[in-house]
This record gives sequence, C-alpha cells and structure tokens, in this order.
Amino acid sequence: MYFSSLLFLFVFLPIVLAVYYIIPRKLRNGFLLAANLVFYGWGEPVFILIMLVSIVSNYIFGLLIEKCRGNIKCKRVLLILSLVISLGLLGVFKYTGFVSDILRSVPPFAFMPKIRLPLPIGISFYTFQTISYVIDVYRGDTKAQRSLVSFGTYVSFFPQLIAGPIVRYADIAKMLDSRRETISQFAKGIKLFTIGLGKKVLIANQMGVLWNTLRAMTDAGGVLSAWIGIISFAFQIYFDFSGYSDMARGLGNMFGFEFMKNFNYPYISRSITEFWRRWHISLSTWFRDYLYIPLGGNRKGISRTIFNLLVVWFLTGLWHGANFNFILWGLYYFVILILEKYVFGKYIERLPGALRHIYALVLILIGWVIFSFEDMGLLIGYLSNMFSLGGGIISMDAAAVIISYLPLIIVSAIASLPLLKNVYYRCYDKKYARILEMVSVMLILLLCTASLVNQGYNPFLYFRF
Amino acid sequence: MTKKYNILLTVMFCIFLGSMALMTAVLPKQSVSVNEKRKLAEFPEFSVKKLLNGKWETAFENYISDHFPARDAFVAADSYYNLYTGINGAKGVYKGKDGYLFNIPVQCDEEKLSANLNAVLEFIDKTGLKTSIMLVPSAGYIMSDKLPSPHMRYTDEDIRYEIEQTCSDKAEMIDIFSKFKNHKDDVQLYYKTDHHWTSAGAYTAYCLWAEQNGIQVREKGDYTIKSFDGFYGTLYTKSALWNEESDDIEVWESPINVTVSLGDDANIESYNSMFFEEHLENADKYPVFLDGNHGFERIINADNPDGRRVIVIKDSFAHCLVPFLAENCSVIDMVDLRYYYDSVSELVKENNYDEALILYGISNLCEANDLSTLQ
Repeated sequence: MYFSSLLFLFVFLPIVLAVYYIIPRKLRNGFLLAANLVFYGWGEPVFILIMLVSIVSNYIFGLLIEKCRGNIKCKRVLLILSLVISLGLLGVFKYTGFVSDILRSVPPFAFMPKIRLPLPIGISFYTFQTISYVIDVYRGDTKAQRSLVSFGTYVSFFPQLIAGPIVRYADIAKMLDSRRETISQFAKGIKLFTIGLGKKVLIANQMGVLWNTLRAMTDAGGVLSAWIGIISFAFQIYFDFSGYSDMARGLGNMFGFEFMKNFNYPYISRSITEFWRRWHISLSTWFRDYLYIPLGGNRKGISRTIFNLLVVWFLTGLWHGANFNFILWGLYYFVILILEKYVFGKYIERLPGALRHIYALVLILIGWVIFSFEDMGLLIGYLSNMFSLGGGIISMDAAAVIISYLPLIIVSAIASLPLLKNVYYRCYDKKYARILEMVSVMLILLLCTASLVNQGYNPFLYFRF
Repeated sequence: MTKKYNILLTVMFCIFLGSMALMTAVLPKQSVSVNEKRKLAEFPEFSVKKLLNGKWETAFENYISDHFPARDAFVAADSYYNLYTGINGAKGVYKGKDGYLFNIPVQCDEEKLSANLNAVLEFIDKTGLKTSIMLVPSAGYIMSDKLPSPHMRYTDEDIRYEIEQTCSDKAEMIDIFSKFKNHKDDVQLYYKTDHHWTSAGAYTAYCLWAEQNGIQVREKGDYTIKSFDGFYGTLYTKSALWNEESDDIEVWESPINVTVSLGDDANIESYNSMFFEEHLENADKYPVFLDGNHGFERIINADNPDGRRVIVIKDSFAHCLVPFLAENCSVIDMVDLRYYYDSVSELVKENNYDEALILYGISNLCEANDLSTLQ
C-alpha cells in the first residue's frame, strides 16, 4: 500500500486512526502491529512471512545477546549469526537476480537460468532497522525489547516501512512503551503529512511526467532540454523521497511518535560533503554509525580512511539498487568526497558562494544521470547530450513542453529552498498566518485527492460496456 | 489560542477523511460511467486464493477508485488545476482557442507506420484492385491558428509525405491536406469536442474524391440538413474539462434508397437509413453515422445499380464520409480491421469490387496495430 492512494487516505488511515484512539492504551501497540501487517501485506500477503521471520529472529537475538552480556565470544557469535540472517534475507531477495546475471556472463556459469525474485517492498529499510537494533543491544547502547509485540511494531511500523526514514531503535525505544499522544503533536502531524502528500502528488508526479517526456526526446531535444530534463528528475526524486519522509514523520506524530528529519534542503548545498549531510540523513548516519566508525573511521591513517570510505560508498550505491549504475553512482560520490576531503576542498571554500552552489549542483545532477539510467549505453548517450551542441540548443517540441511546466519548475525550485520555512516561522504568531495555514492544508488535501481520483479516470474512446 | 487552533485543524482533517470514507462506504453505487464509456468495477468477490495472490486487493482498490464520492467533480478539479497551472495537454488533449479541443500531436512510431504501409502495398499486389488512399489530417495540424501556445509540432505533413513516397506508385493519393488548409476558415471541418471531422468536413473530402474520379457530386443545397445540439465527443471525455461547450452535429440526408446491413454472418440486421438517430439521445452522438464501429458493414444503393462497387478499409472517420460516397456507388463494403478478423483478400475474391479506398485518420495509421492483419 502507498500513502498517495485513495485506499490509504480514505479507507486504511481513517479506520486505523479511529480504532487506535478508541481502544485502551495497552492494546494500541498490538493493534498497530496488526495494522502494519495488513498495510505491508496488501497485494502481496506472502511477504508478511518474511517480515515475521525478520521480527521474530531479531527479537530472539536481541534477548540472547543481552543475556550473555559477560561472554564476549558468545555475544559475537550471536551478533554474526543475526547479521547473516538479516543480510542473507536482504541479499537473497534483492541481489540474487543481479548476481546471477553477473555469473551468467562468465563462461563456466553460462548454463545458469535467469533468476528473478520478487522484491519485498521496504526490505532495504526494515533490514537496516533490525540490524541497528541488534548492534545497539550488542554494544549495550540500549536494552533488549522484552515484548515481541512492541518490537514487531517498531520493525514493521507502517509510516516508515516503505521508504524510511531508517529509525534507530534507541531513538524510539521510550516512545514504543510509554508515549502520550497530544493534540498539538497530532496537528503537527497533519501539517507534515499534508506537506509530504503535496510534495509527492502535486510536484513529484508532475516532474516525473516532464522527465519521462524529455527523456524520450533526448537525442532530438537539444542540450538545454537535456539539462532541464535531469533537473526535473532531480526535483522528482527529491520531492518524491522527501515527501514520503514528511508523510512518514507526520503519520508518526499522529500516533505519538517523533522521527528524525531525513532531508534538510539538500539542493542548497555548497559542496558534495554538505550534500550528503543534507540528503537521506538517516541512511548516511546509519552507514556512519554501523559501518564507517566500526571499520575504524578516520582514526587509522589516510589510506585506511580512504579504504573505509570506499567500502561505505560502494555499499551505499549497491543499497540503492541491484545494478551497476547504482554502484557507479556510489563510487562517483566516493571519488568526489575523497577529492573534497584531501585535494581541493579547501580551495572550494574560498570560492564565491554562487560558484560553490553551481559546483555542487552540477555534480549532483551528473550523479542523477548515473542514478537514473540502468543501461550504460543510454547513460553515456544522455551525458554526451548534456555536453555537446550536436543536438542543437533546444527543439521546438522540448521548448513547448518545458514552457508548459515552467510554473511548476519554479514552484519546485522555491520549495527546494528554506525560504518558505523562514517566512512561515516569522509570521507564525499572526492570526492570518493560522488561517492561511489551515486553508492551505485543506486545499492541498483537496487537490491531492482530485489528482488521485483523476489517475483512476480512464475513458475509452469506444464502448466497453 | 494555539490549542484551540490545533483542535480545529485536527477536527477539520478528521471530518474530511472520515466523511469521504463514510460516503465511499454508504453512497449508492453507479454501475456505468457514461463519460468513460465503461462499466465501473463491482465489489470484488472475496476468496482466500484471490486474497493471497493479490487480485482481490487490486480489485478492491479499483472499486474504491471507481466509486469515489463526487468523482466527476474531483476529476474536473484536477483537470482544470493542471490547465491553469500551465500544463495544457495533461490528458493528451490541448484546450485551444474558441472552444476547440485537440489531441496532442501523435508520436509517429516509424516501425508501425512502415509495417502498416507494407501491409497496404502487399494487399494491393495481391488483389490487383485499383486502390486510392485518403488520409485525414489531425485537427491540430489543419487548424493550427486555434492551437494554444506553446504546443508541440504536428508532423502530419511529414507523415503524409512519407506515405506518398511509399505508396504513390501503386495507389492513387487523394490529398485532402491542401483542400482542408484552404477551406478551414469558411467551413467548420472538425468538431470542437471530438477528434472527428464534421459532416461539412467529410463533404469537402467527398467533393475532392468525386473530382478526382470525374464524378458529379450532389450539391450541398440538395441535402436536407438536420442539426442536433448537445454533442460531447471523445476529446471532451478524455480531457475531463466539463465546462467546455457542446458541439452541434449535423446529419445530411439525401433521398437515395439505401439498405445498410450490419453484424456478423450469423446475425445480420438490415436498416434503410445510414443514420441511427437513437444515438442522438446520448452525449456522444457520433455513432449516429452508420451506428459507429462494426467489423463489417454493407451499404447498397438501390437507386444506382450500375454504380461502383467499393471496398472501404477504414477507421471511424469513414462513418461520416461513406453516406456521401453511397450516392455514387451501388455497393460499399466497409471493413474495420480493429473488429474484422477474417481475410480481407478472401472477401475481395468473393466480391466483384471495382476499387478499394483506404481511409484513415493519420494518427491511427501511425499508432494502430491492426493494419498488419490486412491480408
């Protein structure tokens, strides 16, 4: 199930909210767990089994690891075992097809059949959550969860199940077992959820249409259309992903939870190092806390640091998808980050602000080209369109399409800046600001509903009675 | 103040979600969507098997979407929202000037087009029939001054040129492009809310066909022209711009005695008019011409027994044109390859046709898969 659907907004959410607030407090986690499983299994109930395996095994490992606190050897074996299971599930479902394709290209394995396993949604996210839990227990950073229901609620919590943020267990351990839902938190949740829904439905979806249209024209569109095309993809992925995170945080609020911010205006970054502090924060911090620092971080000399970063960025790329372009995308950022850290970072800091923004944005956009094309031929073709005048400046058709989307492109650009947020905080005390806010919330909800209803409007030219 | 405000916001939110949910659950359900010309989803029958393979869930989502309260109003709200935020053509339809709606330019699939043309050439070789080709340009190409700006380029002329290059050795081209360009300001050639040509447009094409064949046409003044209002066509339903004004649809009747036979071998029904006025009661009135789409239709003109015997291989543009052609023919057989599944060359063998007319809207010729079944 997805948040941006009529089913979620007008069937699932109202029912879950109503029941949640009617039943006594001590039943609430159990009810949430049941709701999570319905949400998760909707359309693909088989995946509930994988989810249950993940919940039960990590629940047991957490308890066992805590039990042999004194015995390092035993603790370590248990930790490794739990990692093997978690990463094994992730690896099998996410990467089997990719690995088998690589093997098949090597002569001795050419006989292998093409393997395609269905990818359980959200597995990349909740696997990272369970790993963080077991490691935190291992390190003694948190206590093991005694209640299977509470633990299951944490792992499968529907707001962040599909697209994050990746919530560390330690961050919400208290809220799991003793939270007090308040009206102000609920109202905050409504606002966050609505903003996220608007980002996804009113901006990201439209930018996706623009991107697909321009990408289809790529060879004939001209250099300007290639740039605007990848800018529209940059907007699509940012508003889609951050919109989803906002909805997750908002929904969390409605049930009395607080999640960390996952995006912090990434496109205002003035270096790639800064970009990765602002983009998908919960993933970067996860890799920092559970991989980079355990590997030694930057405390073991330059060459070891570079090696550690290489591992982190290779895996960051691979985490985004089972294909070479994602690995390439990760390594691309590895190279730039190393260069910024050791070679030209200090020179960039001396450049005027505008140039630093341009520097970061151009590199981010090239990154998105790598990210969006799984086919290497198309990827190189698109990059060369961006840097050659062979296709002209811009074709008439591309110009017509871009002009019609211009208002939305401008809205997207403004919404990528903290501008509106700053204005909002400045006027927050004023009465008219409240009225404006309420009107906006209702208007966005109505427009998103209209857009979702329109998606289901499928007229036939000829009769289908 | 803050607390009151938070309560108010929460109440508004819950009322909105809750009332929509409640209305979805209890409002009476429609079984048919007139605008979409399709049946709406029925509440899916539950079975454990369907639940496990996900089919029930998908069907349930379709049900919710099809029966959402005030669905048409929400659809229109979104369509106008897109239009007024600059995105004209979101549903594949431009809103132009003077109430004209246009299909956006077709993206010509070169492979499909050349496969379709090859099928036509093979058909001509195989049957040895004298063949003419008439291509109907899209409204957006002809009426470019009514298009919104900016708009994508209509490539009809390029496609027409390509078809002419490929086919002119073997078939006679009836070039209505230039004729339409010349007459677009004095005759309303296309509907505003539908992608088809008007009766006046089809008559203009008929005159050119007659001219090229050395035939005398019936003068416009000799027709009894009946006009009906309230026609909302395909572009209207596709765009979901409910505020657009309707078209008038004209039926040009002549006094000839015709018999129209429709249906497949087992169940042929005959009528003595080419106009099926019962369709005028619906919003989409275009099927008034020859009852809309059929795989095979035969029109016999009893007043002209020595006239031509013509096979028309066509899409829906023909429905409005063929009543004019019938004037000068003894028999017209219409074959719509979207719904005709037998061999057309067999049909040619069995019937003693004098000539074939291939009549397509240009976008259909670039997009349709059916011509490859022409054999």
